[in-house]
Amino acid sequence: MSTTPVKALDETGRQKLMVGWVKSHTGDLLRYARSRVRDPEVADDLVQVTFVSAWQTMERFAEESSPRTWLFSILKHKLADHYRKVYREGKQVSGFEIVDDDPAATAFVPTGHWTNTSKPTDLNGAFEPDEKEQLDRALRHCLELLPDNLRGAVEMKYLLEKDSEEIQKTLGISATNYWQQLHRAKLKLRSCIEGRLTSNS
Amino acid sequence: MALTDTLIIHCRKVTELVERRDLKSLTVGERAGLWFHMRICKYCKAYEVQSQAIDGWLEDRMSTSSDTATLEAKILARLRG
Repeated sequence: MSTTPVKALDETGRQKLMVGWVKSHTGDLLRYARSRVRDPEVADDLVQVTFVSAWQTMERFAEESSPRTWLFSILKHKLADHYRKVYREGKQVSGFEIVDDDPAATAFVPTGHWTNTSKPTDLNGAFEPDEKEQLDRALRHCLELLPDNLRGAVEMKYLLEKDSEEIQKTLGISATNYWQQLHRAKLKLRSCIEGRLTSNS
Repeated sequence: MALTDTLIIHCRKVTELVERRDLKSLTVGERAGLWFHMRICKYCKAYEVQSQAIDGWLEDRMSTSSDTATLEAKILARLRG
């Protein structure tokens, strides 16, 4: 394997290196992107723009990190950009508060207690280990069903590694608003997963 | 504020705090209220366990779907174009 620094490579050398990176890392990047956005075409496009961006900024590649780490960091930024756009466009379409689809408004009675139909039914805790595969399927399915803005709130938490201030800055929303979105997303996810596991058992 | 006002929080608030706690420290009052509520409410306790299970999965997940070869070709064409 060549140890020539990227900066010292000529155009042909860089092209060869980039082709190698495309062949080595596209699969992992694609799996990562597809598990984080609903539309496979969007995931494909995000991986493509990741490589385009990597190609355009190749001289900035710091040799101390691996190409894989560098490419994943670019992809994460692209995903964060994607969810920022989705979030802002969603707000324009549906308004700031999605009152008619607020699970927190329907899961609890006005005094703040669970409604009979929304309270957790599996009181032994969560999801037994022998249900692992079924659980994975339910989780994937329910994540797909989340509205884009709520999915964005969830994905941002992991894309930006739980950096609360960075998430709020990226989405352009207040801390309180972000907690609300995350809370709504989790209520929907939990209820959907439990419903699915119950109906399949 | 009376101690009971601090300690008695309702389920909706509790589930909010469970989510927020993962990203930001709660106040002493919020922690006390959460602790107390979890000792008396089996539904919120179940919510907490399930929520943490979902968080664990979200952190670990990797999709199994892949169509790598086609995408590789597209990327290389785009880079050459």
